[in-house]
Amino acid sequence: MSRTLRPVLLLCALPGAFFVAFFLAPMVVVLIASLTTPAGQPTFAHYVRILADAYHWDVLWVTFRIGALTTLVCILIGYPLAWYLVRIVQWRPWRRFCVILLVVPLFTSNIVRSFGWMVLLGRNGLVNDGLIGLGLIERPMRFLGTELGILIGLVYILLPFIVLAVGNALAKVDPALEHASADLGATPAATFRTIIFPLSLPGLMSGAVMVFMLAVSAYVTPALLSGGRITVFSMLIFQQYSSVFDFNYGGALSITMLVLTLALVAIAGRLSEPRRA
Amino acid sequence: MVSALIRIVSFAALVYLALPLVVLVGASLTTTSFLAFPPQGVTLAWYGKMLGDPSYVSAFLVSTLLAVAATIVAVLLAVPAAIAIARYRFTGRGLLAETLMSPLILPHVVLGAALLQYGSAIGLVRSFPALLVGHVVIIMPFVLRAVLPQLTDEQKSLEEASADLGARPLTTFFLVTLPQIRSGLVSGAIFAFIASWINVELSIFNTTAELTTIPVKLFNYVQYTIDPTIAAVSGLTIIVAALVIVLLDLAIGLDVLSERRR
Amino acid sequence: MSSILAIDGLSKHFGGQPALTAIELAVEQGEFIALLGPSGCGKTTLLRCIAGFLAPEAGTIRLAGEDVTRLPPYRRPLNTVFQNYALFPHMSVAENVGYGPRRQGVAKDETVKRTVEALELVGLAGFGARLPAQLSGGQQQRVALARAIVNRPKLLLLDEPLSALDLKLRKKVQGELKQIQHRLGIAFLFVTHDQEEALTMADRIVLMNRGRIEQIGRGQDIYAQPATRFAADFIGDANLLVVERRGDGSFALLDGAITLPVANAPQGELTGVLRPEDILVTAEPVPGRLALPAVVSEIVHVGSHASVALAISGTTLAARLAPSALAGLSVGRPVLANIRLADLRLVPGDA
Repeated sequence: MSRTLRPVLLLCALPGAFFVAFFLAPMVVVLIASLTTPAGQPTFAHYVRILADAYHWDVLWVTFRIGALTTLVCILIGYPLAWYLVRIVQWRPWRRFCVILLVVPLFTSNIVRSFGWMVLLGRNGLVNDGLIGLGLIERPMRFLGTELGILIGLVYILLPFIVLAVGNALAKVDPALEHASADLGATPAATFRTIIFPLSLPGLMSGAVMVFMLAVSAYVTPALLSGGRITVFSMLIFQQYSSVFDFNYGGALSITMLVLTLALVAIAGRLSEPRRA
Repeated sequence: MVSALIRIVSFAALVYLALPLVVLVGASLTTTSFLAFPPQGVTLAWYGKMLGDPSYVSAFLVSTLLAVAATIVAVLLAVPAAIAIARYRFTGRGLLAETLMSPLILPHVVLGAALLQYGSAIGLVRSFPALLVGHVVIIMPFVLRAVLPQLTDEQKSLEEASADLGARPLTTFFLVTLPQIRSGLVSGAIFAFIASWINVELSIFNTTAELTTIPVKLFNYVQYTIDPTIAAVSGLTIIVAALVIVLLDLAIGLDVLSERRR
Repeated sequence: MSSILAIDGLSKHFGGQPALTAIELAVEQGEFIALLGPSGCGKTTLLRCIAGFLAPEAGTIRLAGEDVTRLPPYRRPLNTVFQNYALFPHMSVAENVGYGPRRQGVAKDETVKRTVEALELVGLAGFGARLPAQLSGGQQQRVALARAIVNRPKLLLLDEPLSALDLKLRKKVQGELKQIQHRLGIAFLFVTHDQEEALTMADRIVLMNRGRIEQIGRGQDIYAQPATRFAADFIGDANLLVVERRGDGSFALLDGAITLPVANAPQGELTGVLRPEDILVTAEPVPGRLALPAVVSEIVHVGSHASVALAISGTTLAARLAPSALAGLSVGRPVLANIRLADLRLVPGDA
């Protein structure tokens, strides 16, 4: 046995076996189930059923639309916030407090966070009270059970990912590059456009991919904030496994979701790949 | 001008980030029997009610035990794997690393459903071990991600020096490697613990009325009723999260955004 | 005729600590100036004030007669070669070099033309499509140079541009840099902490210490006539001797072994400076020189010459001898150290 192989096998035996047993095997089981009838005969019927049904397309469209909007809003709010924290805040204790404020939601369950928004976005919730108080609306708006409500909840949960990813990238931009740009005659706006933004793009893209993935696969937040009025794809999967108990069809839904999200992420990754000459 | 706009957006975003947490903690203190924010009066009665309810206490216990056990197992599995990936060049190394990290991007509902289906085939469902294996799978990447960057090449020469001085591999690991990766291990374990502690999507497939975690119990509850007890339970989890974060900040410094050179 | 760069009374503080004090400097068209000094002496701070990255508290900076003290960096008609090159990692070599002209609003084909010319000048024709990460350190350094000269600045600032290169490459690039400067006729202001680099390359050296200019002059002049103890010590090797001021206006060195009847010496503490090559070591006295009895305490061979440590009246002096002059010398042997009083300079500063 080669000198490398033995220690590698020793080190990887347990983690490898664990992942094969409790990660790869379950995924393979789902894949097989999605391609067989309950009696074990091979079939594409489940996939045909998904693709042929306009309802599934509707749900997919809603899911990906919410995912895309969530990502967009997260970028629009998250980039300025990351900029503010990295480049504008001078007082370290304040930045530290802001970072903690950013991370606390990440350490709290989706349930708790979405529950907070259920309370805030209700007919008599603080948001409606505030909007009426400001004279922006006359009667309470309906947020719960609308895509807007889900969007508010998802953006809330996923915003920290973008801010941390972009903030990290911005913090790593070498000030010497900005000096060089100014030295060569670029105004601050030109320096942002040509140097800082392109250099923060990989962070932005990885944050955006993360947000999009989590937004389209989110279950808890849409389930709580949709009030049963809006269905996203993960709810279909959950139904099959928790109440309908059709594991074959549920498996096909799972695989569909997996393939679609991974494909979109792969495309995004390809688009943001650092250039090679 | 631009800077003013950025400040306004940032302040609004910070308020937005704080709002639900503040509202929940505030509402949990109300003296009314319904959720009210700002709270009417201040009382800890709802926290008392929660602690007096054995089902909440047991859910807290299950959540904590599960998170602790899953973190320990994840650390025990992730550290050897990280060493293999960082220290050796072998075929399938990249594949191994990507497989071990992939639960991070895999939809948890899909994974939960898969584990349920697979578990029913091998008789591992709706039990503590069934919850445990799923949690280990999804939190291992956090440990791996925190430990891998600390297994640097510089450190490799320390290990070689240790071997050169006559230490056996295990001695080298405990006396040289482990102290070097301690901070990564601590932060990775904390992130792993939290990821398990707050999980719903995976747990929900394998919990029962008797064996349930706090997030799952909350999830099942808030779909039907909203009362200040729920706010108290939520408030407690927020306070735990804030405490863990302050500890983490004191231990390793969370201010990752201050790295600007010069 | 006005200087390309004229600095007048420039001062800068960092948190109450003076970083630059009353800097006066004039650089003429086509000059190669080295800003030399130990780390922390203020040379980089001065460079950053000139480039516009730091705002001085007092004083003015004029470029070709125009006051630029309050102008932002992007409005100053000068360019900089940065210490670690600061090449834009996401742009190709050609994009890096063309960055300046594009920001100035130069037309596209003109930009391409200037980029090609600049790359040719630094010997990197055909490297335009590469990314900085694909180049060696020396090549990156040339790209940084091409990028900085493509705008035809009136003054080029270079912040320790060769410090990241290994010794052999550095020697080669020093020569090339000097040639390019000659061809372009642009004034170069070159920051370095390496005295040899400053001596080989610069027309004039601006020697700095603790935020002040100690001396400005040609390298050989500073070596021959250091203005201060610091200048004597920093440029070349020197024996620094304690000077006692006697009641009669004369000075005693080496415990009275040497007496100098200097009448018009500066006030305050003085130091005697004697270069090692100005000491002749012999067995017999040399006519026209003062012979001091000494004992050889160490002999170190350094290739082209040998360094000999001599103990004289409780002080150790270093002498530099050609290998041929070493015959008959050995450690512990009494010899004569022959010096000329004219070679001994008294400069301000405590030994």
